[in-house]
Parts: sequence; C-alpha cells; structure tokens
Amino acid sequence: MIHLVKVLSRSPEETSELGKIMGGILTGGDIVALSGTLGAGKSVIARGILRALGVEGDIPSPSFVLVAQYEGGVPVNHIDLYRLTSPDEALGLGLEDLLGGDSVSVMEWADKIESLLPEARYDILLEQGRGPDDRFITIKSADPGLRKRLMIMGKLLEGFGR
Amino acid sequence: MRLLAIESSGKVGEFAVVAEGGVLSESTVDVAGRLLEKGIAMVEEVLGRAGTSLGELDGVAVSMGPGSFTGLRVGLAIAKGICFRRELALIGVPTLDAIAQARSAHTGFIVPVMDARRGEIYLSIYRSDGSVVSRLADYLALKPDAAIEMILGECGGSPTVLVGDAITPYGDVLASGLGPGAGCVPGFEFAPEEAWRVRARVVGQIGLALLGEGKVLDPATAEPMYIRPSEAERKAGRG
Ligand SMILES: Nc1ncnc2c1ncn2[C@@H]1O[C@H](COP(=O)(O)OP(=O)(O)OP(=O)(O)O)[C@@H](O)[C@H]1O
Ligand SMILES: [Mg+2]
Repeated sequence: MIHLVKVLSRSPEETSELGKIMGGILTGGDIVALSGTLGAGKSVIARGILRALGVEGDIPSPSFVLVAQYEGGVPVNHIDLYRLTSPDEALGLGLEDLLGGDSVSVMEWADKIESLLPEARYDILLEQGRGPDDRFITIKSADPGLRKRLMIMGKLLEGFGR
Repeated sequence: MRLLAIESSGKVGEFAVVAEGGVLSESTVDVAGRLLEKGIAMVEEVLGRAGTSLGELDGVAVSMGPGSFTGLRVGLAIAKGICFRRELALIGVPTLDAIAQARSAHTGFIVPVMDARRGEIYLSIYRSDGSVVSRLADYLALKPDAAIEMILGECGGSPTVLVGDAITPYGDVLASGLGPGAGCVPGFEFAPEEAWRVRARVVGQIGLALLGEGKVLDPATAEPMYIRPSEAERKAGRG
C-alpha cells in the first residue's frame, strides 16, 4: 500500500505541475497544509493547486492579509500564516469557520498551527534537495479516505507500478 | 500512433485507446462523482484490452470542455498525471468539436448544444461537406434566445442539425424559435438522443489529427475550457 506520494521536483514548473495534479484530486471542504522553509516552493505549488481549481488571474501571496478568497469552480481560501505570532491569533481570525465550510483551503506555513488542524487534511512538505532547484515533495494524510485519493495520484505518477 | 482518450465533461466518464486504424478499446462508466476512483481502473482496463501499455502510447487526448467543472478538472488531472515525466504528448480536444465531428456525415450546418445549467446553452456552429467539419463560430455560453438569434444568423441555405443534451430542457424553445416560418432555411432537425453524448473515441480521433499537426498542449499551462458566464450575468444570478 502506498501511503504517501514522494517526488523529487527539479524545477518550479514541475512543482507547479504537481500542484495542478493535486488540485484535480481535491473536493470541496478539503484542507491542504503546506510546510517548508522560506523559498521552499509553498507558493509555487499553492498557485498550481488554485489554478487547477479554476482560479483565474493574479494570485498574489496572502502573507500580509493572511487569507485571500477566490471563486474558482469551487470557493478557495489561500491562507499564509507566515506572519502569525501565535496559534491563538489564528482562532481570532475565524480560521475554524474558514476550514469548516465547503471551500478548499490551501495553507502555507500550516505547521505553525498544526495542533488546531483537523486530522482529515493533506500535508505537503517541501524540502530543499541537493541541487539549487531540487525539492523533495512529500504528500501524505492521516485520513483513510484522503489516503485513498493520494494512492490514486501515486499510481498515476508511477504508471500503475509497471 | 496510439492515444489514450479521456472524456469526462458530463455525467458519464469514457476512456478509449485509439490508433489510426480505429478504436482499440473503449470503456464507459456512470461516474457519479467518483471519476478519480474509477478512472485508474478504467485506464488499466482499456490499455489491457487494447493489448498495450502506457509505454507504448504516443499521447493522451482529453476532452477540454465546456462541461462539468469537476469532471473536466479530474479528467485533465488524470491526463496530466499520466503525462508527468513521460514522453507523452498532452492533446486538448474542445468538447463541442467532438460532438460536431461525430455528425460529420451530415452535409450542412452542425450545431452542438450542451446544457450549461444556469439557464444557458454552450454552443458553437460548424459546417460539414459530408466528411470534413470546420468550425465557424466561437465557443459560447448563451441564453436560449441569444442562441436562436445566432443560429438564425449563421445557418442559412443548408440543412441544420442540432445535437446535444441542451435539447432536453430547451428543445421546445429551440423548435419554436427555429421552426417553420422562423427563417432557418431550409429547416432544421434534432439529432437522435444516442448521438448527444460526447464519445471518447471521437476525442481520440480528433486527438490523432491534432497530434499529426503538432498541436499539443504545454501541461504547465493547460486548463479546461470552462466558458464562464459574463460578469454581469454572474452578478445578476447572485442578486
Ligand atoms: N523545484 C522547485 N520547486 C519550487 N520552487 C522552486 C524550485 N526550484 C527553484 N524554485 C524557486 O524557489 C522559489 C520558491 O518560492 P515560493 O514563494 O514558492 O516559496 P515559499 O515556500 O512560498 O516561501 P515563503 O515562505 O517565503 O512564502 C521560487 O523563486 C522558485 O522559482
Ligand atoms: Mg509563500
């Protein structure tokens, strides 16, 4: 059983492409929690996901406003917690309501509030690889239903294990 | 050349493997929101029945819309997932082209009409000489009145056939707008219901032709063709 998707991305384009494939497996209410250091590529993959969800036009970084909302084919929240000082502050932002609705939420710096996040979510970790443009991208979930979808994504990428 | 073809713009998902000689295999399923789960098994099945594998394909042709947002999004994600890091061409086939192409034997005008919900019809206008089909108009989303006006304006002098699932909700309106005396000379007809659905094999056939012309998509920028209502209509709809 494949429980996670792990890919070595060699360029921003590949990372964006993976985001688009990821966007294809999401449904309303899903939460995607992105983690990784500054410049890891969280925004690159987030934009790919948003595009695949039908968001058009500019997608600026929401780090100053913390939340940007879009009407794609589904409503989408793009959240960036970089400037968040404490998990309590997140509660003050009404984050629970945002995550509880029908919108897909894509969250950068999600590890800052990990304890507040529901278990039914996708976790995407981006890590610097050896080369300057290399990024290890790991996608996993603790939720059995979501894991099933990740398994399908893994199968697609691996050519059905053949 | 050999292509996997994916059609998921509506309620039914269909996968096919096609080559120049024709259809090698085809499989259809009522997806009911489970296209992703069922899709993988169907891809494996059609490849197996065609006696081929991903490594032997030249590309993936996918129906690009308009149509169901979820269906198109998942269909394209499956196509992109399969093409990711493989030497496979990604080919986008406009869904209305595929509906029109399936009626290519009709000499005259072919008007695919898809139910866009929210009171609108997706349509374009094509002309066929009995084998070669060419598109004469943009891909549009129009209210029935505007659709009738457009069809009356474009289709004169040759028989006109309307085909697609918009005939269910708007057949009566379209018939009274285009019928005898309304000016659609020399008349129009509705294609039989079996012909309304988009077929993966036709998506594949058009895909082969596009691939032959080098018309492939960049997976980094390819997005489904959603054809949104205008901003004004969207606001009115919400008001
Ligand atoms: N394989 C790769 N995947 C993603 N980005 C890459 C890759 N290789 C190089 N880059 C570059 O790394 C940068 C990633 O920036 P991005 O804004 O996505 O990071 P971030 O994780 O959102 O950072 P921040 O925490 O500052 O918001 C971009 O400049 C991008 O071009
Ligand atoms: Mg960022």
